[in-house]
Amino acid sequence: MQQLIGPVVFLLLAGCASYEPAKHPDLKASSGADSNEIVVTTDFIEVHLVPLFGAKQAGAYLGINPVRSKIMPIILRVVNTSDGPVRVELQDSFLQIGTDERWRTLSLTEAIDRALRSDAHVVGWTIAFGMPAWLIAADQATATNQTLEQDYHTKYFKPTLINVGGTGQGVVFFDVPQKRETRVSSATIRLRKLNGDQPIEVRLAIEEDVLSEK
Amino acid sequence: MRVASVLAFPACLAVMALASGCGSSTMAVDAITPSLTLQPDARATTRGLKVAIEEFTTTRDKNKKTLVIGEAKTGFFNFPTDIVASESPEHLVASALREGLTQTGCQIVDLKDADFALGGQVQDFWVSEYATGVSLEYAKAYVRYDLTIKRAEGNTVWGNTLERYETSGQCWDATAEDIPTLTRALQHTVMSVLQDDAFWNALSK
Repeated sequence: MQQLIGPVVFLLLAGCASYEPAKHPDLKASSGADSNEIVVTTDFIEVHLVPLFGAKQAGAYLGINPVRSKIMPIILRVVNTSDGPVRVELQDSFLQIGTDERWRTLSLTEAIDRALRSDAHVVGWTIAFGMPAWLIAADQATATNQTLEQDYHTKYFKPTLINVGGTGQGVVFFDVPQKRETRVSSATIRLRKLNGDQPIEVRLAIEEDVLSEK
Repeated sequence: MRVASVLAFPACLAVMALASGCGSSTMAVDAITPSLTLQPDARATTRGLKVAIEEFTTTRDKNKKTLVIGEAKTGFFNFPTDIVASESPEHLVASALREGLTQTGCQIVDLKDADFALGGQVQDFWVSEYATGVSLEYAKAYVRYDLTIKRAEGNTVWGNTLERYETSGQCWDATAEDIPTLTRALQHTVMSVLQDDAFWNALSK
């Protein structure tokens, strides 16, 4: 019996390195009374936002704890109801914290790096089980990395340009500069009509979401 | 005896490093030419569609040098090595689109003679490797750019973001897979837009 304890413990730990991509949540389906979807409609655009600030939501969908990995994710959907293509300028979009603090968006590469860095399983296994565990864990980490990267690429909000009548949807990642509990007051998404000069900012007030490690 | 055993490990590492090469700081790539196989499209051939391809701009990270399109991990210690192309990503994207449009039957002409002008902005054009030195590796490439169609008078009638994330299979040394993986990503974006009805509808207006 004692001979089995080692392999069983190892297999249990090895299982922790896996990353199972969760299915993309359907914003339309979640737009019921209990949904935390926020919608702003203007004369040329519809912007829908679902915050994924809770550890439970972000963990289930993206495998991260927002505070520990310093990533604040939201699901964004933009519907172009205008008569020309629209550009979504994510690099100039931000989360408003209190009155004077703004958190910028992260590039997909930055978000993936942070998500992978917040996972320390391989190091832990090496300390606990030495070289054999390290080698097996490293190969498991290769598979986990590849799965996570592909999943993040699938889920990321990719369309910079959205055509007339078109919709863009995906996850946008924001930078959390410091690990701390805080309250986000709003998200601002910047857009621009391709045939116009002035950028348009759509502000979505976030009423209840608090970023915490729980 | 004790000194010899202490020195044995670094000596072995040095021999392995010398045998495998320490990795050079750059790796030059001659050409990135996606293999496009498109049939002539009636929407281009019957009208004798004349298209100009404008110079693409880029929003790629300013820290990345213009011709550096990726980072390989080379040598025994997986040294980071710049992959340097002979042409910029903006030029490579425009060339691939030009080749694809020509195959569909469009005439590529100067801007002053064109019915429509295609242009855009390259946001990502990068290949790198997941390589830890102790486990299987893979190459990963990401190509993403905006493509717009403008009428001769300058009004934008269509715009879309084309993107493709591509990985190689897992292997012991992924460096040989870097350029094929990047080329496949570029190829997919061009093929996808030239098989998109919305793209052709915009060119028919």
